[in-house]
Amino acid sequence: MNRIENHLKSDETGVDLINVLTDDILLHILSFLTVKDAVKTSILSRRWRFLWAYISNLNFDHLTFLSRGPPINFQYRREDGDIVQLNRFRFIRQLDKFWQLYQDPKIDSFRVSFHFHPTFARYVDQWVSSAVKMGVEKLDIRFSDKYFYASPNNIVEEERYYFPWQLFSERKVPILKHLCLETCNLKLPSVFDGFNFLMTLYLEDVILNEGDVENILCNSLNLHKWTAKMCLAKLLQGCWSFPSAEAVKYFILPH
Amino acid sequence: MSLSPSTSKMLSLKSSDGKVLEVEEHVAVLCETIKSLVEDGCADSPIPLANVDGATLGNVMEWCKKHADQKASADDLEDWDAEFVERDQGELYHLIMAANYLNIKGLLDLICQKVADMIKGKHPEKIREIFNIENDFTPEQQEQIRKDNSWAFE
Repeated sequence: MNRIENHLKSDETGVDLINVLTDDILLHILSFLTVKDAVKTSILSRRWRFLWAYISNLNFDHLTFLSRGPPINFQYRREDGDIVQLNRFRFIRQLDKFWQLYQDPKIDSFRVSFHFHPTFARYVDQWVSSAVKMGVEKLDIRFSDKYFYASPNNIVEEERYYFPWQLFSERKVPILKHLCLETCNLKLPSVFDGFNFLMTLYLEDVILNEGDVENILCNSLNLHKWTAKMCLAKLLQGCWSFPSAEAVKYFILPH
Repeated sequence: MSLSPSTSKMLSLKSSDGKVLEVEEHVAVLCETIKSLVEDGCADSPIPLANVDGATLGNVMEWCKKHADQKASADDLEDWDAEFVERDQGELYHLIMAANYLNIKGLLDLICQKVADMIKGKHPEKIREIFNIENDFTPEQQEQIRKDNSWAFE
């Protein structure tokens, strides 16, 4: 204990060593924490008060947000509907609060994972929109309920999140490089070139329009890896499974 | 240890307190800062490292040597790193400053992760105690911060 304190009070100067670290390094340290732990450092001292607002990798996972965190393998039962609903509302409220106070002009990555319901679509749209305005390069949206229940449901198309592709077609300088979607709808218009800078694409349990794949492949010249797992593309008549119901397929395109 | 000095050119590095360390070039170039000097042909005389003391430089080079060893497996390195970061805070901070100055991303990430682990899930009062951070807020300001970020403190 004394040894640590002696080291902290640096040699002759009596300055605390943590205070010599630059803000850049403190931010780097904060980037290894969950957003919630990072925000909690605001109470430490004046210097720490707004540091958290400059972290650039945002990871919001419902499972790590619950106040008395569930055990790692925790899963809800379907009968626990009320608790799920309550926790979900709290999660949305917490995230919304975060965005109100967050001020970093540039975000590198934004990840959000929770059991989605259409009533929350407008919130998610706002978060994604904010992230895009802040130049996000990696978007990771995971709305499967499989992380919460022992037995996942098939969430019907109408109850899924519609990825807001409009945000990308309106943008003059689209810089999204990595996109990861799970249990969403990606239904692009027949003419779409908003993913010009995309390098990797991961789709799992995503419902697509028939021409979406060709559309992305033709317009994303930097795309070098894309993965589709248990995705559905709707044809005019019926559905076809793509690429196959169980298997994960990697398509690595030559440059 | 396994590489004989004759297989690699030696560089001399001079610390802020005047200690000179002889290091194999392929080990020292894990520091991007030194790598650029070598590439620019400026690495002949002892390289002065004004921001790194001798003891810290020794520790940094120990890490570089381990990570330059082609024979070390990923598991081996992970275990070795876990042991390497078991140090008092003074040494950790000196290593962060050195890794940042010498531009060694792997080492910087390793130590920052270690410091983050010391913060993770802890009560603010405990974090202040661990890092000797002075609470310079008034009780009213603290109340306000808790209110502004209430979601994180729930």
